[in-house]
Amino acid sequence: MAINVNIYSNANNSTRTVSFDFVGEVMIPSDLLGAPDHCEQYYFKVTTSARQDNNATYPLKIVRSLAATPTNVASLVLNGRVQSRTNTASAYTSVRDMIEDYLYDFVVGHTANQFESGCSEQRPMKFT
Amino acid sequence: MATIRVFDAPNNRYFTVTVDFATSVLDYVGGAVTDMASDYYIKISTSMTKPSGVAFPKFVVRTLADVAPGADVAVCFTDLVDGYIDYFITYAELGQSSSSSSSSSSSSSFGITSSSSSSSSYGVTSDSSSSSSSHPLLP
Repeated sequence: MAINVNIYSNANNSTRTVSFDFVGEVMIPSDLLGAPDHCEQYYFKVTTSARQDNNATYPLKIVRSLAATPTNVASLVLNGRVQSRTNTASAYTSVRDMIEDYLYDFVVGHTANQFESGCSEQRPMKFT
Repeated sequence: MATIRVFDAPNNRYFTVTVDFATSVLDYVGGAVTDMASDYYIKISTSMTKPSGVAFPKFVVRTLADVAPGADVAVCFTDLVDGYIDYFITYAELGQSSSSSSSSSSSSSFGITSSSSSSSSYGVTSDSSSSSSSHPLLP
């Protein structure tokens, strides 16, 4: 079951939704780290129809693990390597911790290479 | 939600392992009362039963350390789910002879190609373990 998390902006009196779904699928990863695995893999898919404040859409996010290592499954929100809220490279302590950091990053956004993570820029979420 | 079908070829029957994502307040985690804050977790259950006919408990996964009984801490969610599939298949004793209910290393293949890699979906080489550890379970 996908869980839709509503984010309400009091200043704008509007709500945006982020969906977290846990799936089991054969996945061809876009980064092709290592050989594609033909076996079923299990991971979170994070999607939203919300827009960044420059009207850009958000790319699909895949969460394969709660940690920054090993590289092929690293899933901290900033390029797999760093948490957005805390600027740490430590693993998320729980699924809830992971979800809260992803939500934080959607709402607040981040600069290119924030915290030296190598991430690309993501603008704050648009609520207007 | 992920639903994994496990085909018991010798008996021509299917079982399922269901991996669902949920949110709610959890009452107990690790035997202790929680802080009653809304939590997010994965529930893993199966239609397989133990040879005695008793159902497996439902498992709650909040971290990658909440692995199947006897399994190592998982590197990723795929490892974790594969560990539960292995655990259910092993303790349901599917594909094993009736005289070998527990062995140090057993291979089971069901329906779909299996391999010794821990990342395979079905019927992989399993290391039977009779050890049990405390684990967050749903009532």
